[in-house]
Amino acid sequence: MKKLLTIIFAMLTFAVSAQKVETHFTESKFIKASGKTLEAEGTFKLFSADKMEMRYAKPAGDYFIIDGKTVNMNMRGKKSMVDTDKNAAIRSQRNTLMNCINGNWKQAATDNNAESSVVEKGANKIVTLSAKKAAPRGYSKIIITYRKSDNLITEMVLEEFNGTVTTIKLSNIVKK
Amino acid sequence: MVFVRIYRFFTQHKVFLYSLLIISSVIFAFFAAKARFEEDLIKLLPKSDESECGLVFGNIKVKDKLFMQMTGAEPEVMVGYVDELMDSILTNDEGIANTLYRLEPDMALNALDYAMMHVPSFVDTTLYARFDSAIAHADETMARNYEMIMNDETGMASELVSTDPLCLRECLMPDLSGGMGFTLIDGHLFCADSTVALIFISPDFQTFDSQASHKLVSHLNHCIEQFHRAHPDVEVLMHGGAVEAVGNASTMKRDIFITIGISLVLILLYLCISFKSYNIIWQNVLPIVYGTIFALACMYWIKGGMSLMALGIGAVILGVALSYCLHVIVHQRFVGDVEQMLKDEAIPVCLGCLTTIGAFLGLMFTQSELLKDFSLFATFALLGSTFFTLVFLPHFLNVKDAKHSKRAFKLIDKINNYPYDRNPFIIIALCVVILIGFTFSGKVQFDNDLKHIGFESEAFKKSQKLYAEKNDHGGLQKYYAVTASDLDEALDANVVISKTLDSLRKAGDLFTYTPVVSMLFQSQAEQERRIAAWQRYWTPEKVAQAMAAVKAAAVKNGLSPDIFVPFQAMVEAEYEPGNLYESGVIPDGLLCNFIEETDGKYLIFSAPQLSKDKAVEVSDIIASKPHAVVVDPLYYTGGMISLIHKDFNMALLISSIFVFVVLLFSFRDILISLLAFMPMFLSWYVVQGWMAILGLSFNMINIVISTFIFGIGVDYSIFVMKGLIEKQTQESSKLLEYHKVAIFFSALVLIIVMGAMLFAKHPTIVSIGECALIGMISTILITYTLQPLIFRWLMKIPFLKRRVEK
Repeated sequence: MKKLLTIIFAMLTFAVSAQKVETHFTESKFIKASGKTLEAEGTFKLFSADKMEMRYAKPAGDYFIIDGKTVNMNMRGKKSMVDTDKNAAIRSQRNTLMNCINGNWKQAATDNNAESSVVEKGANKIVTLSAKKAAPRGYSKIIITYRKSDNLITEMVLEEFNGTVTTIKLSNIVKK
Repeated sequence: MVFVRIYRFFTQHKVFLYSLLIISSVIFAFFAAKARFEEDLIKLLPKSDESECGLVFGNIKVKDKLFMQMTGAEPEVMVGYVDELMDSILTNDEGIANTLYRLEPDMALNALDYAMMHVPSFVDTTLYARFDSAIAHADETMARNYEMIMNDETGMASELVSTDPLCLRECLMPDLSGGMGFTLIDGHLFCADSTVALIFISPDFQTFDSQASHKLVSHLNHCIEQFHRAHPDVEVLMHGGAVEAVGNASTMKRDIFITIGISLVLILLYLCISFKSYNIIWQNVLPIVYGTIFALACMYWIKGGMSLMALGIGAVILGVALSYCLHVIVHQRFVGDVEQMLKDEAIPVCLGCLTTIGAFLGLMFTQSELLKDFSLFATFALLGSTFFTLVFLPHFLNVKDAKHSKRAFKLIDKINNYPYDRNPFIIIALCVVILIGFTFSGKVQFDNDLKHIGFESEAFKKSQKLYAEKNDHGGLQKYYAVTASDLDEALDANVVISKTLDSLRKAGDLFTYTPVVSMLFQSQAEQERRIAAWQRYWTPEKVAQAMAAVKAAAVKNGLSPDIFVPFQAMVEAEYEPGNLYESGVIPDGLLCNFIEETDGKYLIFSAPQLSKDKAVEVSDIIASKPHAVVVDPLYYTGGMISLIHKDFNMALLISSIFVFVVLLFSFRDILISLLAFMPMFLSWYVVQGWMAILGLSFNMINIVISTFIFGIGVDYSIFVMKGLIEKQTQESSKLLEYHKVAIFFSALVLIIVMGAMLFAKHPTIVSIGECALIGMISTILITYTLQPLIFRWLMKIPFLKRRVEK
């Protein structure tokens, strides 16, 4: 019975993670150090469990693309392509993002040495991951909001140890 | 007479003769074509105690790096140009191990990531005093942090400040930032003043792999030419080992073709006119071709190949073989009887061949592969040519062909029959020349510097000069390395070199030196020591003190005191030693400047810039350290070339004794033998003395030519001596005249060829021409003047006269 449940769970996880999604997103980054908030927006696309892209309309031209083990970035014209096998920080960031987007928040909690809690609020399920210990890099807290009906992510709040908080909200979600 | 009997045998068995000739030629040509040619001069040097270094040299890639420079446009424009050129070059990356012309943005991210994970490994224990100072000056640092944060548009600066609010990175970085000497523009490498874009290409082969070098350099030149057509506004220059090797080889080939080839064609035409026959061309050329393919095939069978340089010098030796052909052909034209010709010529030709081979074989006693290759090649080439000349050639000579240009021969007779040995002015002048030669012979210099025998084109020199001007600051960049089979062992050994170079820099012996490797790479043990020191330093009290200082400074400067959690986490974190070399963080094109793994050995490089005057002194200091190597083959070759010089003197002595013994057996008289030996002996001193007077010096290559002077000197001497003896016994004998005609043609050919070499571009070929020309002229003058004079004097001794006439 336990085996059967495991298989069903794996199949469901795969079904969710394999969802293809295209949506508009807004991003708000509050920098505690300066008190500034950087606003951004663009199009979010999820192609598969390990491929997604965030193309920014504001600031225009910026992008953040995860394609397998590679992360491509363009931040204000500074382009870089990182092989996550060679960069632990970006590997961690990539894995956390993909796990959260794909609904594998438990794995994200393990990877980030975080405690997790789940709260259901109306049509949403809110997962909070809190770091057990301060670290030089990574997130102190991650709050993810999933739409209960199809387990799709609608909002993600990433709080860093230095107080910087990035909030990403997805709207007009279209399944492909 | 053996050769007469062989001639008769083959006359009756023509099919066998032609079959033997064709089959042997095909076999020799087949194996000759398979011979490999070694271009690495270093490999040709004697094996010495320092050969451990020599073994490493061949494989060290850092010395084989190609330097490409682009100049003539604004840096921002050149950034695009460099990418365009490199895209075209890398469409075919055969022969390219890696390139370095830009640092990818991810490199900085990866490096930061690695540094964050292994912070303590980069902190030398001496730096903790600076940390204390940084904590004490937290206020000033925070004011700068505030500016950074307020101007931050992406959040990255804030992240940096929250992780390193005390700017501890500046305690680690000052030495590095000053010493790299390059400027980065849009990630691309430029010289310090941004006027020259730099591209480094590391070949995946050794420089002296001529085929691979040629292929790569041709590809690069093709790409540069195409690029030039599209962008005539900029200039692309290139230098480096492979470029030099390819330029050297092609210049040598072109020079040999132009000087020797064209002069030989002209000479053969002259011979055709003199002998009124075109047959004279192939009659002279075929024995030499046969001798050459025989020698190359023998080299293939014995060693699989030979040195290209030895082949180049060996080509000159074929002049001796040409001399034998001319003797046979000229004599045949005079006597009109092949058997008579063989009776007259076989012994002196064989004797000449034997003594010349003896002169060359002396070189087999040296430790230099170059000299050994040359010796073997010359020996086999002479054997093959002489065999053809005495066995095959007589069958191709027209028995009744005795035609020759009367006008040309009248002039030759006039030159040959002039009584040089009776003209007191010529005798005295020659004696003076010899005396001066003797006097100055000890003063001739031997140039140990291998660089002087290589060819560098103007473009190559321009590229080298530009690179030195822009990057070496008028100094010289030297590469030193430590080598060990274990990376940690090599890293520990490098610490010694690094400290030595640093103290030399402080003493003013170096212009610049940045201990990049010792700052970035540490052995596991050293990293463990540093991690322990980090933990000892960052005690809870010290962390509390630092955090209090940081927070107070933050509040004072209008920043939140809560943003420094990452800093506290960083100093309190647990760390493990890392392996930066294998982390993949540093791209190969950059890494190979620091560490190289070759044949299971690790090499760690240091590259200080120093004045040329100090180069040897500093190199001597470094070379005396354990595991240390001066990555400059020429540093070690000076001693080895001197060894060749000493070897060579020994070889000359052995050759002289051998030649004299053969002469003694042949002439069976010590005085006659000494007389036959005299031209070779005297001309060697004339060459040395007059080279000293003319300011010419011997080098590793042209000194070998002295064996040629020996060879040709002893040949002319034997032929003249045979003629003189024949004339003494038979008044009517024309043998001396015939020999002198052959000597005339032989000498004419060689003097013109050697003279033509003076117009070559390649310094080695010019030096061969200078040395050989002096030797040839002195040999002929001594043979034509002093030898008959002394012989005549000797014949006044009744006892000797009776013995000779007997």
